[in-house]
Amino acid sequence: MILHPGVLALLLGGLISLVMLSGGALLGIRIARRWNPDGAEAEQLSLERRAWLVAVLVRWAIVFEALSLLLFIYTVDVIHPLFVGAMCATGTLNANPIGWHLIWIKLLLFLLGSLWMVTNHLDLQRPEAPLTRLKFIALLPLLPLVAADLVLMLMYFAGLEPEIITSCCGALFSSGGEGLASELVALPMRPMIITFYLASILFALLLVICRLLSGWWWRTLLALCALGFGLVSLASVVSFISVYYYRLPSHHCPFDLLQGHYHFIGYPLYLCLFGALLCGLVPQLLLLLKRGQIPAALITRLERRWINAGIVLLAVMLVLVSWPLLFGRFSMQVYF
Amino acid sequence: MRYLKILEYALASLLRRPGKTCAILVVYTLMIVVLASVLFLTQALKTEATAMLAGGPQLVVQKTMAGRHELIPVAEVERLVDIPGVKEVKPRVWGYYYDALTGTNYTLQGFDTSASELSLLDGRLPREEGECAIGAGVAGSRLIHLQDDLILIDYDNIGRIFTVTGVFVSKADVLTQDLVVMPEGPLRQFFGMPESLATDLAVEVYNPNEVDTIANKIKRALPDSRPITQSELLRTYHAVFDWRGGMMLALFSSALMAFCILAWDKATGLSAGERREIGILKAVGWDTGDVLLLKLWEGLALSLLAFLSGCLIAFLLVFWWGAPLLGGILRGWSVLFPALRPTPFIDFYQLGTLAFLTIVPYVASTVIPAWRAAVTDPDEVMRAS
Amino acid sequence: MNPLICTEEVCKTYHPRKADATQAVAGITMQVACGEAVVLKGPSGSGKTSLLSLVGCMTRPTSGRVIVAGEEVSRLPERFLTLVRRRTFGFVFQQYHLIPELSVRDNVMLPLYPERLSANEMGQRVAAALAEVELAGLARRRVTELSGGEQQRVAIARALVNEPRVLIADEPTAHLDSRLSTALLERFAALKQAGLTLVIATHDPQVYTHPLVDRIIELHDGRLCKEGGA
Repeated sequence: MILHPGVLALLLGGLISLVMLSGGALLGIRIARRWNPDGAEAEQLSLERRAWLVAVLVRWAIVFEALSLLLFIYTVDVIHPLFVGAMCATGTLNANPIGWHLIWIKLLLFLLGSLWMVTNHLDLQRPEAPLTRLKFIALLPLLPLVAADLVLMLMYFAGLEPEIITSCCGALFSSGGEGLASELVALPMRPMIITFYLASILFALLLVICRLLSGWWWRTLLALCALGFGLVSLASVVSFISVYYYRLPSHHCPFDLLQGHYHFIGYPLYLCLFGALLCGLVPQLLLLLKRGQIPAALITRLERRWINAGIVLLAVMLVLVSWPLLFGRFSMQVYF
Repeated sequence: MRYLKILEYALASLLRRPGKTCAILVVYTLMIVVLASVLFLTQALKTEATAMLAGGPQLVVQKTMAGRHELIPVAEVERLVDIPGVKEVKPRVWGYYYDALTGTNYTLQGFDTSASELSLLDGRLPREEGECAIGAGVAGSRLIHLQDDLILIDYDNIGRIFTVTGVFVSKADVLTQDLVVMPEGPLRQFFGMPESLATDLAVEVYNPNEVDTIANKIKRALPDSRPITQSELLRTYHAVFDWRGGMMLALFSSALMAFCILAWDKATGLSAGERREIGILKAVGWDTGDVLLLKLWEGLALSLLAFLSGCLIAFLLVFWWGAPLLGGILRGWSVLFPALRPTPFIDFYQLGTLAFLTIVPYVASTVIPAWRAAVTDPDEVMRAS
Repeated sequence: MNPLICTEEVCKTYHPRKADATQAVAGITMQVACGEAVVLKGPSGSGKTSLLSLVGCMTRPTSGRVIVAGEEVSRLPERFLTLVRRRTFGFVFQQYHLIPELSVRDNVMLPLYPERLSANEMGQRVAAALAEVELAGLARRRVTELSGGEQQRVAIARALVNEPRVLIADEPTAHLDSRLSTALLERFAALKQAGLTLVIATHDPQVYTHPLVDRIIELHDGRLCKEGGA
C-alpha cells in the first residue's frame, strides 16, 4: 500500500513538513532565548534575519500540511477499489480506523498553523516585534502534531489490508449502525436543519456585534460560537446537507461532495466552513495578544478584516447549503 | 499589485540568466517527464484493465487440485444454475499455446464464448472446422493474412492447418492481440479436451451487487473450486499496477534527492552579479520580504514551466508514442506485446500527486538559499563593489 | 526648528566580533536641517561612506542614535528601516550601481516595486524623474550603452523617483570630468531650490566650494574634526 504514488507523495510531503517545522521551531526557540531589542546591534540583526527564515519555514510547512489534507482525502478515495466493500473514501478510512484520527489532526494543524500565521503577521506590524518570544514558543505544540501526522500516516497506510472486508459509507452513515456517524444520521432532519440555521444566525450576529462593538466578552462568545458552529456544520453535512446534494436519503457520506460527479461542491463548502470558523477564532486570539506595545487601532484594523471575511464566508456557505433546500427538485419534507 | 510587479521582475530576472535557468529547467523537466510517465502509464493501464474486464464475465469458476488449476466437469453447470441469484452458467473452452516458431504464447479460445463481442474484424469469424480468426499480433508475428494458413501443433504432436478467415484489426486491443479463435468443437479436438470437461465456467448473476455472496455459495457448493469475481480481478490489477508504479517512483527517489541537491546548489550559488543585484535592490528600498517574494516567484515560475512542459512531454510519450521503455516494465507481460495505445486522459488527482512529488521538494530545497539571498546586507554589497 | 537628520554619538563597527573588526565611525554628532546642503569632506577611509549609510538608514549604528524627521531609527528592525529609507532618502552611489542588463526606465523603476502604486502611477513617476534629469529620450536604452555622465543621471533619476526628502550622494563627481561635474552641481542646486535636502560625501574641491553648499563637515579616521559654513 505504501508504494501507491499518492501515498508516497503524502509521506514525502509529511516528512518535508516535519523537517521544515522542526528546523523552524528549534531555530525559533534559540531566537526567543536571545531576543533583546536593546541588545548588541550585530547579534540582534542576525536574530531578526533568522526570524524571517523561521517564518518562511513555518509558513511553507503549514501550506504543505493544508495541501496534504486535500491529497489525503483524494488518495483514500482513489484507492478504495482495492478494498472489498469500500465504495468511496469512507470505506478506505474504515479499513484502518487510524485514518479518521489523521483527518482530525490535519484539520487541527491547519487551524493552529493559521492562527500562528496571524500572530506572526501582527508581530511584524510593530518595530519592537513584541510577540517574538511568544510566537516562537508557540511553535512547540505544533511539532508533536506534525510528527503525529507523519507517524499516523505511515501506520495507516502500512496497516491497510485489502483482503479484510471494510464497510462503506452506506454502513457507517446509516441510522441503524453504531458510532458517532450513525448517531448523526439518526438525528431527525428537521431539528438538525433548524439547529444549523440557528447556529449560523447566532454566529453571524456575533460577527456583526464584534464588528461594531468592543468588549472582550463578545469576542470570547464569538470564539465559542465559531467552534460550536463548526461542529454543528460538520454534523449537518452528514445529516442533511450531503443528502440534498446527493438527492438520496440514504447517502450521507461527507467525502463524496468533493468528487467530480457532484461538481466538487465540497470544496467551496468546506472552505467556507473552516474559513468562517477560523475567522471566528481570530478576534479572540487578537484579544489575547493585545499588549501595551500593540496599538488598539492596529488590532481593530486587523480584526475588522477577519470579521468581514468571516461574514462573507458564512454568507457563501449559507447560500451553498440553502440553495438545494430551497430551489432543488429534491425534497425531504415527507420525512420531517 | 506589489505581488504582480515583483512577479514581472522575477520572470524578467529568469530570462536574464538563460544559462542557469535552462540548466535547472532541463533537469527539473526531465524528472517530471519520468515521474509523470510512470503515473500516466499506471493509470492508463488500470483504465485499460478496467475496460477489458468490464466486457468479461462477472464471475469465473475454476476447479483446483493441489492448488493448481484443473479442467472443470461440465456437469457442475447444473449445480451452479440451481443457486439462487445465478442467471446463466456457460462452460468456456480456452487455453494457451506456445508457438516455438516465434517464441510467443497465443491464447486459443472457443468460438461459443464471447468472441462475438470482440472487436473485429477483417473478414469473418470461423464457422467450420479448419477455420480460425487471429489477432493482429499473431498475424504480425507469423506474417500471415486473410485466407492464409496457420499451422499449429496439437496435443498429439500433429500439425493442424487452420485457414484464417478473419483478423482482429485493432493493433491496440489488449484482448485480441494474441488471440486465435475457432469453433469450440475443433478446439477441443486440438487440445484433446473431452466433451465432459471445460477450462472454466463463466457465471452471470441477476444482481451484480450479490456477486460476492454467490461466489461464497459456489465455494460452499464446490469446495474444490475457485470462484473469481470481476472486482477481485480488478483489485488485483489495480494493486499490481499501483505497486509497480510506486516501485518505480520509490526507485526514482534517489534521482529526486539528487535533483534537490542540485536545486539547492543552484539556488545557493549566487554569482557575483546576482549578489550585487540583490544588494542594489535592497539598497534602493526592497526589504527582505520583497526579495523573498522575488525568489519565491522565480521558484514557482520555474516549477510551473517545468511541470507543464514535463506533463506535456510525458503525455505525448505515453499516449502518442506508447511509452516505449516504461511500458514493458510496467506491463510485465511475457506474451505478445500489443502496441500500447492507451486512451488519452487528464486526471487532476494524478497531476496533484505529481505536483506534490516534484514541486514540494523543489520549494523545500530552495527555501534556505532564497532566504540567504534575501538577507544580503545592502551596505556590505555597496561597500564591496 | 528641528533638524531633519540628527546623529548623537553615533558609532559603527564592521565585523565587531571578528579579528578584522573596523570602527568606521566613532562618536559623531551632527545635524542636517531641512533644505540644507551639507558636504561630508575627508580623505578616503575617513568614514564618509559609513556615515552616509548610517544617516541614510542603510545600516544600523553599533551605538549612538540616529533620528530622522523626529523619529529614532537606530533600533528599528530592518523592514522598518527599509521603509524609512525608501520613503525619505534617495541614494546616488559612487559606482552608480545600476543593473546593466536593464534599460534606463527599468533601472529607474526599481524603487517603486515594493510600493502600492498602479502601473500608471509608476509610469508617471518614472517619466517625471527622467524628465528631471533630461533623459526622457533614452528611456528604452540599456544603461551599458550610455556614457558615464548619462549613467549618473540615471542614478539620480532612480534616487528621485520615490520623491524623497533627502538626496544622498557618495562621491558624485568621482567619474566625471569638470564640465560634467559643473552640470551635475547645477542640477543639485536646482533640486535644492525645489526643497530637497542634500548630503554629499566628497573630497572634490569643485563640490565643496560650490555655492549650493551650506555647511561642510570634515571627517578624519571616523571622527568629526571640523564643522563650519561653506
